[in-house]
Amino acid sequence: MTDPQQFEAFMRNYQNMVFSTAMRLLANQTEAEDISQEVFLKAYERFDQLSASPTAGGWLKTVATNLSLNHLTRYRSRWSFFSELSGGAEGDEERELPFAAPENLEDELARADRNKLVEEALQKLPPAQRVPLVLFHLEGLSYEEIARKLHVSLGKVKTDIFRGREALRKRLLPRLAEEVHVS
Amino acid sequence: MCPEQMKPGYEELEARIDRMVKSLPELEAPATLHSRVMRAIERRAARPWYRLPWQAWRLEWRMASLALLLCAFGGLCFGGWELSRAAGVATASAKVGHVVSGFSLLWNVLAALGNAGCLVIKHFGTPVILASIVLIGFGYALCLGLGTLYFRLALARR
Repeated sequence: MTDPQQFEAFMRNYQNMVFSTAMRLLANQTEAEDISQEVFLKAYERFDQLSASPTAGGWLKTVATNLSLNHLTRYRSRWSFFSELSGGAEGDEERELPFAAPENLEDELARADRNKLVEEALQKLPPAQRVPLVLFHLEGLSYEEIARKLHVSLGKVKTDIFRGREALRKRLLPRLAEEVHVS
Repeated sequence: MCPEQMKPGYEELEARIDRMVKSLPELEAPATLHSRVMRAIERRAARPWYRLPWQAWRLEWRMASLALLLCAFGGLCFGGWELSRAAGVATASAKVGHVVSGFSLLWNVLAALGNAGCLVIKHFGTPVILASIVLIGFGYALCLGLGTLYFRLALARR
């Protein structure tokens, strides 16, 4: 039988990690909260094994990732199709831009509220770019693993991640420049 | 690898974005999450036993339900076998055979209509058939294109 107090402590330890994982994939607070709730209800069902397991954090992260991806494919399946067809709502815009080397990006970022800006920029990316980008950089999955998880081609994963990085660079530089001028 | 990824400076951008994204601190979960989960757990615990998953039932209930299901399945099998030997069933199956033979007549009529349609199409000649196929293909592409356009317009960020 699960001890509620023990579970509450367990939940407090991991709730930020679970919520962050869902939020960065879904970019929607309400949906991320729903997914986090589902993750902890699953954890409660097998708390006997999880409470003493050193890999509980990894288990929670994997479940949060999988539930978020299921949610995206179930409720937003069309983004994948239209992204495949046209490169996403913002794909054309990015494709027209010439590639520019990221000069002074980190220096400027250091002067501004970097984390907040990066977080906002990530959340504003279209799902077709954000999801593979987060899986690659935050979850540490390879291109092949991402392609398998998302049921898309390897080429699409690489292109979407490339576009995502370019969009991040594009979104971060002007805003940072503005803030630097103001300060 | 994408052609764009071969450009100079791209690896540097990749490494910098990797560092930036990895250095992000965890987001703070909403204060309501904890109470939501605990309420959901309480609601689940308050469910009556028959609304729990079968695996969560008590062992004696699981055994009893299994035995009941086996009895029901055995009863159905035995009943079906007994029924198939009854005299009334032979008459019923003859009736069913009669109805099915009616379907073969319908099939013959449909086949005759299909053949007549083929003859009419052949009469029009190859150019008309090709033009029709092109027209149908164009109509399909138009529907797909307009659908895509409307979808993208509807989802366009403002």
